[in-house]
Amino acid sequence: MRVERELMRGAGPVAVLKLLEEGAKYGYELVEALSEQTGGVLDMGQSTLYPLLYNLQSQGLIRPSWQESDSGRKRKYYSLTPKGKKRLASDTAQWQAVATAMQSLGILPEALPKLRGGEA
Amino acid sequence: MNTPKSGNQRWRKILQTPISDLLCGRITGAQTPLERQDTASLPDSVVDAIRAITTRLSGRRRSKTAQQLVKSCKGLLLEGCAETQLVDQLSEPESIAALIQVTGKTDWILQTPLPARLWPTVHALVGQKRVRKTAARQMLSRVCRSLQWQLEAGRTPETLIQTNGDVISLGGLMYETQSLAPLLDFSLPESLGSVVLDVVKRTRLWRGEKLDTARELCAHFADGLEKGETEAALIKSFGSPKTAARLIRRACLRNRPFVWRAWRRTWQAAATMPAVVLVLWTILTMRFMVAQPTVNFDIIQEVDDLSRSIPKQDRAWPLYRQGLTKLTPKARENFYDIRKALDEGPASEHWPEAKTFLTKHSDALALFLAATSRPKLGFINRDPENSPWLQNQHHEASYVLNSPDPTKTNMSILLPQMQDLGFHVLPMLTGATHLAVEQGDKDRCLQLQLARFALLNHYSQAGPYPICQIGTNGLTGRIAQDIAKRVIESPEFFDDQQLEALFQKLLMTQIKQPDFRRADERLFIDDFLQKIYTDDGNGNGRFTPRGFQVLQNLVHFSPERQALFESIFVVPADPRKQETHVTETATFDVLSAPVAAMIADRKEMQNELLYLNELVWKARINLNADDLSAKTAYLTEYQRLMDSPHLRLKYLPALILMPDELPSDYWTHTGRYQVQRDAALVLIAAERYRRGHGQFPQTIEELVPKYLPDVPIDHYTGKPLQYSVKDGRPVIDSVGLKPDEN
Repeated sequence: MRVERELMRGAGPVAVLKLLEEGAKYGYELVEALSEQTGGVLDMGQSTLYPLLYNLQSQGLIRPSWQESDSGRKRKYYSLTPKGKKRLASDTAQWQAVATAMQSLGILPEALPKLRGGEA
Repeated sequence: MNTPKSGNQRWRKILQTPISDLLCGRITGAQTPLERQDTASLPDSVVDAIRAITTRLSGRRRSKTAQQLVKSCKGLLLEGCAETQLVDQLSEPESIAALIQVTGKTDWILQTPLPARLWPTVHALVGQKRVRKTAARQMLSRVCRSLQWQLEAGRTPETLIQTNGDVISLGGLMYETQSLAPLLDFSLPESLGSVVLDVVKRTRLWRGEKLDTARELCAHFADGLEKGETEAALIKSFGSPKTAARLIRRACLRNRPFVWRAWRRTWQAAATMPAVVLVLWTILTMRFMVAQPTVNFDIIQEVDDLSRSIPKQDRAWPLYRQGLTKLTPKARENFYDIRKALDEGPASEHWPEAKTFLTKHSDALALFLAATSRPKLGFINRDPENSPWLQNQHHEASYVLNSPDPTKTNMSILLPQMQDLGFHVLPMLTGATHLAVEQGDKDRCLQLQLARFALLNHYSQAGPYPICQIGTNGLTGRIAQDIAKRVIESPEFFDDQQLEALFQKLLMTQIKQPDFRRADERLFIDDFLQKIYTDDGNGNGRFTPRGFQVLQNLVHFSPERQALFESIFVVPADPRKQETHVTETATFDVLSAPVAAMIADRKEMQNELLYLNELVWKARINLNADDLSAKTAYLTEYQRLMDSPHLRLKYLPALILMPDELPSDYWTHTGRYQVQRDAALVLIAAERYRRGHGQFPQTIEELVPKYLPDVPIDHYTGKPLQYSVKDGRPVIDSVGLKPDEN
């Protein structure tokens, strides 16, 4: 299922911040995680992901650093900043409020299925 | 037989020999650049290697390369370098020649400690199309250094050839990022490298930012390949390089320092502003230039059509015109004193000349008298038969009076017929009246007096303009005073019937208040608007280029308004340029369209003009009233428009058309003329009363209703006219009867 661009624009940053909450990740890792953990719903092309990462960086929400990988090749890892953590908390609260409101309206079911490894 | 031929060949050989050889006494003939070098000390294998390179070059580059390589090889051999090592270093002649061609340099070949088999790889990286020599030299240096480091790090030349040999995109990335080593970490196939290069090129970022982006994208694809993804799948999931480049650029610009972003915005604004202004100006100018006014009605034509509908035998103007053409230009020149005498009668010192004039022009007088017997004036502006009269009396070369002119308004209408009726015909009738009195010819006198009333009627028909009614009122007042004076000074001159006839005629002659609202609205405002605005069919429209020509014509009437008009277009206040038309200046060309865009649309302008018009006439009518609110209301409104720069532009046509001050009370003399007429009626009635009762009435009320329909009210006091009998004569006292100080 593809998500409308406007919805993606709102959901993409918070999804990336949430993934980075677990620890620093590099670009391809984020792509994979987004695809797997959301069942492909929030799957975004890399042409969108990297600008999104640069935007979050310009807002001071994430911090990049070049680190050497196990294969000896360098990768750019992104990690959450304190400001990013605050934003994630704030955005999470807002999304929960939206989800609750959607549930009240009957748009979302009471118990949401977990999306991992495929569409719900 | 062969001697001449061999001689020619010798000369040719001499001519082809370089001068340096000739000076040394050698005749060598034509030589390759390498042959011209001293290669005696070089082994043949080295010379062959050099030749393999130079033969792939041409022109000056070829000879220079040969010279430098020979010199370098000699030096290296002297330093102890082995012949095989030199030959080995020069063993990739094709790549070496191509690199020399790209960089314009040769020193790197023997100075760079890279194996010769790496030269094709170096060439693949550096030899990009459309690269300047300076950039190519820098890249050559970087690539050589980078490869050298990698060799030192333990990588074999074969690995390097395998890794970089076929990647054209890597060369492009190297040029974009000005670095190679960070990119050599990723062994990307050409298809993925091309995507990275495409994105990086399109971002147009700083080199550091490009390198960062290139590294990250290379790492991304390398990760994908490591995870077992195919090239095609990676390219597909990446999305559009164009979109990626646009978004990456936007995001990277946000990451730049605030000072840089502020500086960029400032420059963007500075660069954009003139373009925006130019585009706006072009649009405004094109829109302005195509705007044409739609003239829907021609008031002169309508007036003429009305006159043409009058039967010819009822039209007085042809007779007036015939009489006027009998007044020679010479008589017209000396007419001023005679006119005064004609008005004053025997009391004037020029009365004898006036009488002579009347006798001399009795034919004209007869025609005037005949004209007054016709009911309508019937003047036609655009009548070819007016031509002799206009040429004789008004020096108008054309018979087309008030010809259709879209750049002129009704402010410019000429009324020569009105001028001649008032300035020539009426004085001659008045003088003839005085002459009839002098001759005691009562019937003639009455006939002439009645003719003067008829002339008044014709005078009011000179045109449907307020000025005609105002002029008629003034002449009515004068004639009424003349009659009253005659009745008081010579009570017995007219018999009862004549007196009754005069009384009735004067009673029927009304002093009419000009209908400013209706007449002006149509004649001035609507005509003005139709000549300066377009018409969209709904009563609205926009200002036109011709509108400025109309304004240009109008401002000539007032220096203040001319200054106002010129101030809009910033015309230098140079007295020498007084004659320059504003509409012909360069500033006008530039500013006219923007100014026109700021001028109110037709409906707004009409509303404001009607409002100002109403105020101005209220002010004129109430000019002598104690309450000054009407006067100040107009001037306040006019000043309000003048004081605001925005409103001054918006209502520029209104400010130019309407007066900036209230002129003399010429317009408001209606009350004065009413008093003059009413006083004459009272005095005639009093004389008729005297004839019936033997004495004048003591009060005005005694005249009503037998001799007077009702008691007239004095315009100046609002009370009945002040009547009394002094020294046996009736006297009326009113401000309106006193000489006008203005």
